[in-house]
Amino acid sequence: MGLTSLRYLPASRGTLLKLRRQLELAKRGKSVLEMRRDQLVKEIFTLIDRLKERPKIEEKYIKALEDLSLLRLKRGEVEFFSIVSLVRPPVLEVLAISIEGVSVPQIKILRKPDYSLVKDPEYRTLLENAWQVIEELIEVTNIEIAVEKLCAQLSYINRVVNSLEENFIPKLEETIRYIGEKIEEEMLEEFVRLKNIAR
Amino acid sequence: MFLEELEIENIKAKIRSIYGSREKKGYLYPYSHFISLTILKRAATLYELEKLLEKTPLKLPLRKLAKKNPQLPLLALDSLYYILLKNSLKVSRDSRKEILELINYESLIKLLYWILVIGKENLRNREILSILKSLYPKERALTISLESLATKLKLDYNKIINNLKLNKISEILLLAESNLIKRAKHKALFNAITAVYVYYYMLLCRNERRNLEKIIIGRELKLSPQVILSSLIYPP
Repeated sequence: MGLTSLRYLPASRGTLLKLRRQLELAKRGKSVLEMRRDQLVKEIFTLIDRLKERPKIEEKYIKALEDLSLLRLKRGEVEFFSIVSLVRPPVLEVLAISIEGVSVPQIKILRKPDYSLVKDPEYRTLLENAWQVIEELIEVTNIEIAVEKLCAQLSYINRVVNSLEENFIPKLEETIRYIGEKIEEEMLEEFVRLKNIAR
Repeated sequence: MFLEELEIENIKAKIRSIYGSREKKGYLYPYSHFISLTILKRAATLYELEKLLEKTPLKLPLRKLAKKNPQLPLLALDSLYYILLKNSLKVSRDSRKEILELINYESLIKLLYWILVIGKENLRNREILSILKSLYPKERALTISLESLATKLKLDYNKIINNLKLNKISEILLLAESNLIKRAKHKALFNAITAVYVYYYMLLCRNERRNLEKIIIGRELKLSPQVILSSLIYPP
């Protein structure tokens, strides 16, 4: 039932009962949504704490790339690319998982890169370092996506709660009061009419 | 034979790309002498590569070696290069002795690299020792040690160990390469009108090529000039 249609409702006891039931449902829904909102806020705060590590990880990533660039410079293009081609690339998959009932896409590492064919310790160390940082970056990305999705859900719930609190519930209460007064008025009129007939 | 180093590097790169079973062809030096680059790029297996090398002086049982240790074909190619380089010398006896000394020094640098990569314990294998013979006498290779190699290469052993702890093999190789050029210059100055000077000139050209490659890569990667300059080997 739209809010505009409230004013055209017939002023009857049936309507009053129906509206009272609706109001009760709206208030219950609002409190449930508020609880959910609190839960989401709690979850987001827990995740945000872990996001604070991002600048450090980014620095580590830049350092790892610089080290690899330096190695490429020292060993030459042909050797660098041929040795790097020995690494079996990792396998990643994007899965949708549920966090607090919100569907969140997450990157899952199915297989780590295999360096067993790279025997040069310098290459191996730098490649392993780079992968470690990439793993941390993937973890941060997952958290970031989760925070983004949870925030979107939170803002949606906030909108619904606000609309219930500021708009729907007050209007419903007003309509209930109006219909209640109308019914009381009609009852009084009926009472007076019956008294007149009795005289 | 001096330039065949590039061809050897191309073949090594090809072997690695076969190991990595990558479809991408990768970078190769634009140089070929025994096998054309297009044919080399087409080889998809060690068998095909072995067949290609069969008709060249670089003939090697690649599959047999790879079965024992995947690094052996690469080590064998390096070793073969020095054998061919030594055999191709057609100079006077005095010059030959001096140039051979320089080639031996260079082959010791390669040996140092392989010791750092494979480990000296793994080198004490009969198969590997026979491959190593051009890099180091077989009978002496049994007692090979990092310390003795450092002494032979006139490198600071502690410096090697410190770099090794940080896995900085490139730094060690850079020091050794720089020493080689210094050594070559010293010999060239005493043999100014012999082939030794020509060999020194060739080493300088090779160094120049490597330096240019580093500058181009550095510029492409937008590295700071200081970083690029620190990786270059300056002629003495």
